[in-house]
Amino acid sequence: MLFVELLSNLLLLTGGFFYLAGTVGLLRFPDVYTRLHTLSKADNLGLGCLLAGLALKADSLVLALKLLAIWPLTLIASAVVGYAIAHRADRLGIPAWQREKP
Amino acid sequence: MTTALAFEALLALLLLWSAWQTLATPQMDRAVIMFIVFGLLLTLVWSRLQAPDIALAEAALGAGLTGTLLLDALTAFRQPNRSAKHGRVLAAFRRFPALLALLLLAAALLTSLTRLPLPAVDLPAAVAGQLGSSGVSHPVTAVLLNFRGYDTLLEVAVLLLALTGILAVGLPAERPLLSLNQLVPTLARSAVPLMVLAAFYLLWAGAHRPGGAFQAAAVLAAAAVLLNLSQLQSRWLPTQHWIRLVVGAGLLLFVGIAAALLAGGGLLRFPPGQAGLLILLIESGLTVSLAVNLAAFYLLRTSSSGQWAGQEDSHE
Repeated sequence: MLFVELLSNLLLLTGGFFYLAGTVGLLRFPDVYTRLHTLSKADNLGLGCLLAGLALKADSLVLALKLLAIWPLTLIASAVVGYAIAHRADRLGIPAWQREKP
Repeated sequence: MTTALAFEALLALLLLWSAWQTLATPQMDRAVIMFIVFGLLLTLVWSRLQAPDIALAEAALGAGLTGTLLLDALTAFRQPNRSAKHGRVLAAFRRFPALLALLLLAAALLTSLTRLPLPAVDLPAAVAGQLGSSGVSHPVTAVLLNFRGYDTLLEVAVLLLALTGILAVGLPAERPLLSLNQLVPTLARSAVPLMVLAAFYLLWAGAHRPGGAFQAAAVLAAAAVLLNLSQLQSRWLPTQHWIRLVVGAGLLLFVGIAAALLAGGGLLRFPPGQAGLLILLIESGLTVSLAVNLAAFYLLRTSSSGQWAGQEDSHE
């Protein structure tokens, strides 16, 4: 039991870390494409860790499975929405950020 | 305890901030986005207040569907900003009398909040006492459909009136379709069956846990909007009679049951034995009817050619 508790807390903290990283990326990254990258990658990994951590703390198996079912749905939705926004931005001719050469 | 309090204080501040941003920003698109953010924060507030029923409705209707409608209006009008109006709003705020009146009103509200009289009847206990004869085991559904059924009846009528108002004002014409990437229809194809499943789960769950007709209808309406955005479902036309029929049917069913029960001596006073069945019947009818009503807010258009444009323009 202690091990499960420990693993759950570790997963929750990891999830929080990835959310923090994703938010910093959203605020700091230079253009729409890279910002989409942090949102659809870091935040979704954070969500996965968070849900796994909560599922380990859940009272019943059904509740744990319900929590885990949120993840694939969000993954599909954010992949499609991220692609749709990037696709539209590309159509509108928004250029991708390039590192300036020194 | 203190962490929860700090979180709630932060939430309250964010709610006020997003409300101010919604009203004060000069850009229309920003205002709409901030309104959606405001709705999501309000959802969090309702769930912190342990009111999951209202949180569900706020997320689906307040933030989701209303946000979609506002975004749609935004693309229809294409007003880049409202700087002139914004100036006027701020100027009005700067005017001393308005500010004074606002402050007085806020002070009056705050003081009256602190000296609210205790309710004469202990409502939660009254509801709990009568729950056994209501036909459902979830107190919110018992209040909405049984103890205060006429409130819900009037709410349904209000939605119908809103649609009538839209029809009376006139519908926007169908816009040319945006070029679409292939992924969105794929998402719609996989998500819509799940949304239909979730809607009927919400309807069924309403009897014993948070859920019910309004939330289920909002999910169904969102599915219809998603299908339309993916160009798998064409716009609805006001000449399609089935829409009027289905939208009216929910209220008619409700009123019909109410009229049939009038002989029993009260408006919507269900006989305890049949209450569960009658509530399920009303809620099922309302789910379908309200879903079409809500979806019609978004989907009803006059066709650009002025006649039936109903052939599916599927985008394979």
